Amino acid sequence: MDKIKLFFAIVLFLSAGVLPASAQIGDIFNGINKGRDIHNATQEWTPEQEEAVGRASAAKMIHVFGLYQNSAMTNYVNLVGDTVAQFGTRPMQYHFAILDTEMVNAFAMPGGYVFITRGALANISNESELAGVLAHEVAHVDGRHLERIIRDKKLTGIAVQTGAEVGASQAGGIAGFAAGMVDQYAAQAITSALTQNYGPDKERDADKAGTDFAAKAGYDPAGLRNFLAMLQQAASDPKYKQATGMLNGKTHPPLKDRVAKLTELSATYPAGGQVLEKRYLQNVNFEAVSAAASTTTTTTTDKKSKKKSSSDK
Amino acid sequence: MQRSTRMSAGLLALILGATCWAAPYFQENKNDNSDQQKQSDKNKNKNSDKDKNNKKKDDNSPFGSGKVNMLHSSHTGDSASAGFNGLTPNGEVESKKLKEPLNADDYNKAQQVSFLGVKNSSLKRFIQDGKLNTAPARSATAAPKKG
Repeated sequence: MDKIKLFFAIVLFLSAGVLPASAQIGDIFNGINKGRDIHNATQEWTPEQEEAVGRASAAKMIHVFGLYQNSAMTNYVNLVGDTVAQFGTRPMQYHFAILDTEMVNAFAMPGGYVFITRGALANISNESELAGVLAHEVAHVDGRHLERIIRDKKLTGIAVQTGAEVGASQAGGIAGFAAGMVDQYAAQAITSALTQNYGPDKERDADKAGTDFAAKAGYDPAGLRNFLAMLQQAASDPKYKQATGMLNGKTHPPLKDRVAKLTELSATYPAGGQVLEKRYLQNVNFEAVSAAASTTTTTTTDKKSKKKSSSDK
Repeated sequence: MQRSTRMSAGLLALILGATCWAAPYFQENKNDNSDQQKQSDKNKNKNSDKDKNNKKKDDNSPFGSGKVNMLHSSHTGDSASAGFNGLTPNGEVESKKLKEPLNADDYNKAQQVSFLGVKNSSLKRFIQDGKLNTAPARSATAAPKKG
């Protein structure tokens, strides 16, 4: 009988002890995993990792908006982009490309992949405006803004699978990234850039740094300001909602605030920066492209042809 | 008596085994629940932020009179509606497009973009033609240009 009592005592003791003990073991494993995640999330991506995420993000951007393939215009955009990118703080190769949509916008992906839309190019008036827009995007890449958003999400444990599928992954196995992570990060980059708030601080930082890069390159520092002021006016008209919708307060701070801040900022730089209207209109001419593509094309009113007569600064 | 004791002991051993087996799952569920709670709290915050943003947007209506005539980069009448690739009429990204799987063409085009860049000599000429500035210190550490 004593043996039976002893047996029950042991069983009760064990059952009381095992549950918390197993929970503690689980906690230890969770802690190890969390520690590893925190370590990964606080580490800056290597150039190889950045390039891999950037290229996967670029593929997604191209899928959604299409790639505008005009080698002369793309080369010109790369020349302007590289001129301002010289003044970035990180030595890296940038790739500037044109998205095939009328939407007026530009996007920066990790790894130096910068996209500007056909719609933006059609409504930019001169090279200083293009330089300002591209410099703003270069500043996002230079400051690792998207990368930080993704790493912060991972750090706080709120990284959300956005429904953007992993897809037929060609990436993966990049040093330090588990297979499939490149696509997951790319999906997060796209979602952050297209549908979520970048964060007003990062936009303001990019406005400031971008204006600085453009001014140092010798452009009129008011280029970005002037382009955004035009958009601010256009955004008040419902007929331009589709073209300007994404820029009007959802992924960026209100245009009014940005224009006001940029007006103040650009006034702090010495006057005399290049505007280069003529060179811009010589290189970005959709009417000419359209005419070359098809002789049967019916052209609509294009103010750019009128602007051609105006001279460079 | 002995039989009932054996049965009790067996039952207790069964409970003990089940407890050991279920413990990690309880732990996992607990984590999941707290994650879900955090997520739903975050969504609530997001929604209230969205409301605030919308109100703010209304308050900050652009001062312009909307006299700007935006230009289209496509010139064919029949392609006008197709010009806004990837966008809803409200100017938001088409969620359907975002969810679509990528195809080989997308990856190939992304690869083409990865080769985009300009030669140092072309950049130098471009900068000179525009009376722009070169960054001397930057050119010494710059990544090699392709092409």
